[in-house]
Amino acid sequence: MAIPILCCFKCDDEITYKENRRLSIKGTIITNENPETTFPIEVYASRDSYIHSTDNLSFVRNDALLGLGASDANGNFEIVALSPRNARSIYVLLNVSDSEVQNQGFSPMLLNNVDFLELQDNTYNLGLIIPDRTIDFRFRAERATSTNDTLSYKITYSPKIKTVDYALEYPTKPLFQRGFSGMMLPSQQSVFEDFEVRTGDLLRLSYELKNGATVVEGKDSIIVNANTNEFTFTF
Amino acid sequence: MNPVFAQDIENKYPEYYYDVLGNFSIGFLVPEAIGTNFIAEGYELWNGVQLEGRVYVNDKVAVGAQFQAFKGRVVDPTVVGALDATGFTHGFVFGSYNPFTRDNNMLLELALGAGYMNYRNEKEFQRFYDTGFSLMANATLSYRFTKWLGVYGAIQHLWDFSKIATANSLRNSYNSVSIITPSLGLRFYFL
Repeated sequence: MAIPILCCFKCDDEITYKENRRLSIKGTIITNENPETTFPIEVYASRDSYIHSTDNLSFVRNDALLGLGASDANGNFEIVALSPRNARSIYVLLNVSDSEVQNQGFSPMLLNNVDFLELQDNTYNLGLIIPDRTIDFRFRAERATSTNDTLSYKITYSPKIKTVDYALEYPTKPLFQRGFSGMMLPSQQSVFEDFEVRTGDLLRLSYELKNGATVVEGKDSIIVNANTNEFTFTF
Repeated sequence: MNPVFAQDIENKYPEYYYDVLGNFSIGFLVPEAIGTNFIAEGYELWNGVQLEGRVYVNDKVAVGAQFQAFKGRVVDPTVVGALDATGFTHGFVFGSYNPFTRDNNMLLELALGAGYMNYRNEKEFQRFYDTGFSLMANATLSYRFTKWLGVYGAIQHLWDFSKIATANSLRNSYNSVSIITPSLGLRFYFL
């Protein structure tokens, strides 16, 4: 008796496919390089209605690959994809293949809820896609006047994967899933931390300066761009 | 006047095609997709099997039915989608014509047929189908070396017109597929 129950449960959980149908997923990737960097592209179907991106791509583990391909030297792509029958969302992974980032220096991208776009001529047109560049960023803390303060700091920033969501009810917000914290003792003049971050991302710095019973707390935000790959916090 | 024995007649006049009511054949085929289409570009096709039966209307014309099955492994999912493999089956009814006089046990027959195509797509544990209409043109050379048994070699061209709905830009690749299926096999005659 347990076997049919298990079978039904399994069948309900798996993606099934429409007969006599193939989808086309097309778009253009712009990086302002000539020729454009070629990016691997994978299209997935999920039984979940929303895909939460994480850095380790564990969310693709149980999902069904519908199609794959790559953009050309002009940045254009058209992926042939199977048409899922019972998916709750279709999403595209860009710059990721076999769970590895392909073009270092560009962020992987998760294009979520592609099936919320209008399906015209069996085609989902993703339009223009602009991957973020990734840069090595340095956070530096320097002591200037507060010679006896102990600094505790925490920096949070977004996942390496850039997420774009085509469903209006899921506005893309900074997730601040990554981060680190540290401390600078009165005996230290400066400390620094290096990490990889997406350009355009917002870094959040929260700090605490402690001198005996006196505590000063503060927050700061840093927008990362290609020209600003270092932030120095002076106290 | 010398007497004529039945045995002498049998030796003098071999059993020609017009002696038989029809035949049934079984053979293996080596499919090859040609042209610019998703099967030619995306699959490695494996050998398959062909079953065929035909009945002779007269010494020139026959009608029959044919079934072909072969399988293909996806080698380029960028043109096919993320499939693992596909089983291709075709069924036809056809009419054939023998353009030459039947004066020995070798026979050339030319056939035209119409039928269905059925692609059984496999992805992990899921199966789904693409279907459509198919036409075939066939040339078969056969040799009958006993009363009941012969061999044949054939070359066949399939034109598959699938019902797959897809984008305009992919329609040429998906909706008209040409496959050549040479085959060799045994032919069994029934009188």
